[in-house]
Amino acid sequence: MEDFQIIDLYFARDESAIDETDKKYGRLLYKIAANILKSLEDREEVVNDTYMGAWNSMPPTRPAALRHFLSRITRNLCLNRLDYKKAKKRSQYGETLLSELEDCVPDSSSSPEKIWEDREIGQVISDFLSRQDRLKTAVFLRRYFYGERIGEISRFFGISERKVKYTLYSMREKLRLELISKGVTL
Amino acid sequence: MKSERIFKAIGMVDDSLLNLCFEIKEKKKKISWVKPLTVAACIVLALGLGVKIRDLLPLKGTMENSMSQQSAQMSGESGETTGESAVEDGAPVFFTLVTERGEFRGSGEETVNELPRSAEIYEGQWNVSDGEGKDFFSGELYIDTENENTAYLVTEEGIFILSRLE
Repeated sequence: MEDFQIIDLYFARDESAIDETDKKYGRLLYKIAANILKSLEDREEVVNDTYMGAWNSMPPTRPAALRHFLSRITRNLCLNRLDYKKAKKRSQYGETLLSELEDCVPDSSSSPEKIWEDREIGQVISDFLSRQDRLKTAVFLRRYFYGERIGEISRFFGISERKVKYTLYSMREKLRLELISKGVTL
Repeated sequence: MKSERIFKAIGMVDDSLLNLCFEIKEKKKKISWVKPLTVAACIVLALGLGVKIRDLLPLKGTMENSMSQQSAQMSGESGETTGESAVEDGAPVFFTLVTERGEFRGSGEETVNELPRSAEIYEGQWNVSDGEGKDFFSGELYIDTENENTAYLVTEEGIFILSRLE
């Protein structure tokens, strides 16, 4: 079924919308959850909560790309779940992803006068990525949007793991400089 | 945690950028069979031509003698002329980078796994003045802000340590 047809089902409040979403994107969403969360139970719950989130947001939202819309919901739910589990034990892999992104965090003393919203920072990151090489951007997003492992990215693009690591390292450093140059503080 | 905010913000990137994650793969898939076929064809051709040329050579022994003589001459000349710059087997291969902030020299042997936090990317112009055959021409140069006599060349081969030339 085409995305616009699935979206129409949501707008018609037809519950088969969830089955169709699961058929088409269930695997992708589960994969994202599995990349970030350790517990099988958590993954299942996050995917189910994604469908609930989609049901509650459509209508009124009519997403331009259903795949990315659902991926974002799953990703945010995973992050919330990581926060929730913080006091207990986090997935070691989720920790690794976040600790890598510490490299991008600009010094908080660079521009203290403005409080940046996540959406604004997202726009700075989008502008930065759209100026980079396409492959490097795709490698960066496979890692930090979809949470994929280095080995998976290497196989997917047919490049060495060393090259993936080097690309990520160099992109993180450039992003940090970009955030500083735009005066982004966190 | 601040890295979580970055992670969240990455979740808001444009859809067109997320499409890249899938588009590039599809592009590669289409041409993936061409390379192995071309390589296989080249190997077959090279083997075939090799056998043919070998059969056609009447003076095989003379040719081999001539080649070994040439080889002996070349190694003799090399010993006489290269002097101090001669590179022995297994010895480090030094290379020099010229930057606006001075010259740095390193060997291809000294590497680190990770850059120190004090290293900052050098955004000025730099080039390799000698590389002794190694490909150090691409990569990014970082200079240690705490110790400006040390620089790091980050390449796909690894992170090489360089020291400032006095």
